[in-house]
Amino acid sequence: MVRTLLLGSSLLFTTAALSQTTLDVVAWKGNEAEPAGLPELIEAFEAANPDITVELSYVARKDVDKVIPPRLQSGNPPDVTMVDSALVDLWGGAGFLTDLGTDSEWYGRIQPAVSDILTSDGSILVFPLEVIGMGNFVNMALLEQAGIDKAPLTLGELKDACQALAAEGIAPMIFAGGFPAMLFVGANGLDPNNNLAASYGSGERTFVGDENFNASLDAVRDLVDANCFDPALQAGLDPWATAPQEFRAGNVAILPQGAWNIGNFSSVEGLDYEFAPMPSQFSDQGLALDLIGPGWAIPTDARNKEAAARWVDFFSVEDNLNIFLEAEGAYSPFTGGRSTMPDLAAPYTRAREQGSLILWPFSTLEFPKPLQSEWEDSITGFLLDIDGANSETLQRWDDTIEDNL
Amino acid sequence: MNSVSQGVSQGRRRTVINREYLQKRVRSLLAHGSVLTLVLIMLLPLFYLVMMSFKTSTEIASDPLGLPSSLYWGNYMKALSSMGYVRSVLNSLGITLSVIVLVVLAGAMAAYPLARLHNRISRTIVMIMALGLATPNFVTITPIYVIFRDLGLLDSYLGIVLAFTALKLPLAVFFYTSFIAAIPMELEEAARLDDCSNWQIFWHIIRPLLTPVTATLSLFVMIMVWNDFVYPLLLLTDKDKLTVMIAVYKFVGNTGIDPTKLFPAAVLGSLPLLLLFAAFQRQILSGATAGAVK
Repeated sequence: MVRTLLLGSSLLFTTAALSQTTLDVVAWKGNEAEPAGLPELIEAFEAANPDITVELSYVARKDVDKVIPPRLQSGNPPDVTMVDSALVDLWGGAGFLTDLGTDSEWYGRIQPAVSDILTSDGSILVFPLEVIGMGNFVNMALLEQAGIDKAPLTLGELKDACQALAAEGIAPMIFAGGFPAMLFVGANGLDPNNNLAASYGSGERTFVGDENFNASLDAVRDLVDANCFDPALQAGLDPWATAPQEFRAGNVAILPQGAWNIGNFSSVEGLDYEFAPMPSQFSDQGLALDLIGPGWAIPTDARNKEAAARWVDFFSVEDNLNIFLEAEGAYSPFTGGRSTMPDLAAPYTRAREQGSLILWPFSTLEFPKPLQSEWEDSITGFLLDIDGANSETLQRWDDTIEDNL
Repeated sequence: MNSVSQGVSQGRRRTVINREYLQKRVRSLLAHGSVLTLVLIMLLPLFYLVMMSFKTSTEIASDPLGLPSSLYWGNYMKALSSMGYVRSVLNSLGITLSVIVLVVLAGAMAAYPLARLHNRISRTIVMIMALGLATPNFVTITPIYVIFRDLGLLDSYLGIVLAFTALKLPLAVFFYTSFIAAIPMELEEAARLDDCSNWQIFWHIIRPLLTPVTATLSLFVMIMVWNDFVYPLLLLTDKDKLTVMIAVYKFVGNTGIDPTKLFPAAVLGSLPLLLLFAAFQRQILSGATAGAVK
């Protein structure tokens, strides 16, 4: 009797162990530096799917291009991998990603602007996780010391704020060569009322002769004249480590950066700040720069496709996705639903709601990927030679587009 | 009169000697001062790393360049708890030492005939090895992955050790070939007169002479293998087999860093390497300077 019971229980145990699936997920979030709520979500997923164990491997975005392609090419890919638009384009084009189906429940809920970009030839290769804002972080306490009570939303307000802050001996703005400077130049070159991003990207329209982008570079000079920053000093500033650190330390009033810093800045006790849209020549409310963030894709040769589909479906549940969005400081790519954005991002959210918004063309692939590094490099060069002709900078962008055609 | 002029000339000589002595002292002080300044400049990043690792989040935010008010060990506790430190250090040590042993043995054995045989084949092999040195990592990633998948070596210690050995072997062959070529043939000829075989000559005559260069080569290989995270990321998936650099890598964000976590993790990640260097410092330095003085 005892032997039968033991045999039975050991058989049950063996069956359970055999039916246990290990879901191999690769992502550039979920690590110690950017948890993005994933540890909590994995726990919830495993509780809801006791037959699946999630094995999350962190691979930084810059290393994904080295580490994942060999696995895709050799038919031994992860079951689920995080992708962005550039990877969807590259890997999807090579046939490495599964069509997740436009007949799914969640597909119909994707915001039209986002689904238009992600759907190609009637198939969708990615489950979008977030749309994330890029704009100005504004230290309200420092602004108050200079007698200003709201985040600047127009170019005029920004220049006034810079002058007032500089007069008080406060460093007004970080304009680090590379990313922060690029956000300002983009917001003042891309007209939300007449979206021409695709025609620049295809070479139909050139930057060098473009009125808007010439005005955008001129606006940078205006900021220098208004004492917003010293361009030569900003050219060498690290936009990813030093710049956010300076803002965290309360050493500077305004920092152009992405909303992914909200969690980081909010952890600083007493840092009174707002996240505002970028002052732009095209809008009185500031311009919201939305970036289509990463999503989940299932490789064609994934071993556990059924479990992978359950992982994707799990994120399509609003409450689950909201955990990710709240940790990221991001907006949902789906229509409706509850916003998870904190009150400090109200100025940015307001601009979005009023339609003062562009989708960042590097995330929609309207601008080719090589142009991004060219923008960063050439704008840094522009800061070092602020009196040089605009054409020296803008021609480099046209050359990159031409090389990429 | 004579004694007066003698006194004057002695006085002059003393002044000259004093001036020379003073000039020597000043030159020595300047030289030592410059070296010390350079050393301090080189140590500054390390000092900054260690200093930051002991600061609280508030201290880092309010005074990024200041000294910590006290040594805050909480950062290390947090880093240690999420690194799986002991296991990952043991993995790194095991992998690194195995690679060093294999690279040194295979590299020296391959280099000996290549240094002694002067024909087209040996020259071609040396050239191929030199090409191996110049091949960028990303070119070899996919072939290595596919071969290792077919051999069933993915996610195994043997696989990662063999991959690193193959990747570092050209460096070892290059290193040893030039070193062995400089060893006088007379040593071998004498051994040959005593009826030594090629293997005995290599093992008893050549190999002991390679000790200093082996120390230097081992240092290079150790640093490269210890710090590499691309191959462990590619070939290892089992969390228990990951190396310490992968554990540190988890603290690096895509859009920023948390200094309270990254800095202690970086200190912990490089500490075993520093200790190894300190332990073998004498051999490494003698290897680096071998042949510099006749």
